[in-house]
Amino acid sequence: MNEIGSQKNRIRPRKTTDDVSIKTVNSTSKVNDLLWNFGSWLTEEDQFSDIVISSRIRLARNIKGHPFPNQASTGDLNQVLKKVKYACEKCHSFKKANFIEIEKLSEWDCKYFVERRLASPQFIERKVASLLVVGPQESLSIMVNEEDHLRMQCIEGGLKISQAWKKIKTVDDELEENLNFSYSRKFGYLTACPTNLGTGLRVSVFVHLPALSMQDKINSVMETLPTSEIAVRGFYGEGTESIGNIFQISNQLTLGRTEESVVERITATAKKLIEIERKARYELLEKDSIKLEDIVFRALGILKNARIISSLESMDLLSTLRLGRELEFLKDFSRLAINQLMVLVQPAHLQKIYNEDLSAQERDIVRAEFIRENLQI
Amino acid sequence: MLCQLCDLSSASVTISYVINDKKISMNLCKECAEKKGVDNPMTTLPQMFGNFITQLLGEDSLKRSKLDADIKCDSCGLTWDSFEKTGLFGCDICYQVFSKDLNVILRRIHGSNQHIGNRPKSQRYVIDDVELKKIKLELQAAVESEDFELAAELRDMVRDAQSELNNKVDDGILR
Ligand SMILES: [Zn+2]
Ligand SMILES: [Zn+2]
Repeated sequence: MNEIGSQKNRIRPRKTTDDVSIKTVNSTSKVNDLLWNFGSWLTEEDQFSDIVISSRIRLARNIKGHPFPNQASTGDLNQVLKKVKYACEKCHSFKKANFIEIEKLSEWDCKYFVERRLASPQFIERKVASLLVVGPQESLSIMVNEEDHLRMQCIEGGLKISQAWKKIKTVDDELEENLNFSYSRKFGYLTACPTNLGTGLRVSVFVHLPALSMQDKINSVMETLPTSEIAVRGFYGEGTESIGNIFQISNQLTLGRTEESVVERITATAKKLIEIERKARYELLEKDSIKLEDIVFRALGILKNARIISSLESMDLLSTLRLGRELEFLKDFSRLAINQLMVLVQPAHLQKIYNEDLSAQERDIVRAEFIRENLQI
Repeated sequence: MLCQLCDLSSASVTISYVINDKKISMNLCKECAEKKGVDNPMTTLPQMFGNFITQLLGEDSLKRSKLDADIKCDSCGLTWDSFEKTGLFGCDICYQVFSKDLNVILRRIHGSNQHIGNRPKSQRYVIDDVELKKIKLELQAAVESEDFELAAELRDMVRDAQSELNNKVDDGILR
């Protein structure tokens, strides 16, 4: 399997109309342009990408003299929007940015940005005076008028926390040339929620821990982390199994810590998890290689043959496929292509790809079809 | 079990947060999970739900809310009561109005109530007039001796000092 972006023809289904004109500036066509241009977190990898899917840094900022979005009038929100837009246009990092007005988007286009990790579910719910600024390669972006006036973010593929921090710090400084941020000597940057107060910094790493899950060691491993500082979030379905075995590790505290110490701490934690997961994979391989191989090829069998598949089930099976690829049972699969597939099988992405309004049942059918087409080697 | 967000449908998805050594679980119905985006591990989990603050404060918050429910921020209209429900302040002035309770909350959440991280550019150097003159002379010397690295740093200090002086005019009470 090649990388998905490089073989548009095969994975672009027959039904799609190819008349997307670049000259049209309405939001939907912008969304379509973005669809096949995966962000850098889905196209770049590093030495830790066997376990780390992506690193993300987020900074919360508010503009002095305007109430936070939860208490602001529409007039206030629009003023904030104008100021931020002006500052972004002056900002080197956003020279070639897309400015997307959430209000003008369809429901599915909104959800698409959530799946793409550029918008939060809360952000697309509000709509009024909500602006999404997306920089080149979807690496840097800003949600304007989310819980705070600005939520800047930087996402990179692999374990690139300190690089992401440098990038977002530059943006912060550049924006400050034209924006007066709410700040106090005592409390630092003022945020709507006191859990973000101080640095307004949230550092997250998304890690794939299938071997630890199989060994039923997730909870005991997480207990060894300094949990007063670090939050671990798993995604659980009806049972105790976590969905896709993907965990989000992030800092818990934003006050009384420097940005650099948080960046170091999360990097160290991620490296520790990487080491433990790699060891677990090796142990599984040593102990019961054939059983592991069986699990991997069963997952592949279902993905290659299913006619109806939910997004949860496909996440789980793709997670197993990813492990199979890392253990070299499946040599022809590219890691990035599996990551991309995990994003493309989400509901709004399928909706965009097939370019028509599908019911949940119809979506499960085209999802199965889409996966089958993409797993042909 | 009913969904903890809407209290209407039965819960089918559990999300777990590990916060301060404690595992906090939320049970949501399928619709709410989808709305909040928590059914999709490739997206980011929401920071918090309403009454998360109350969970953090436990008993203390209940006692407090009875005492302070009437306090209100005149600038944005937010009441303590509504802060407890949403966990959100309404404006920068709220941080002064509710400062009495804030110290308890911040120490509970962060173990600290003093910011030590980055400052806005404009506040990075606090330099008075006399010092500023000295720095300007040093800058001139650095330029003449072609020590560009030092010169750049001194230039930053001068710039920051000047914007700091400008800012003092419309400085907020908070500083
Ligand atoms: Zn619900
Ligand atoms: Zn207020």
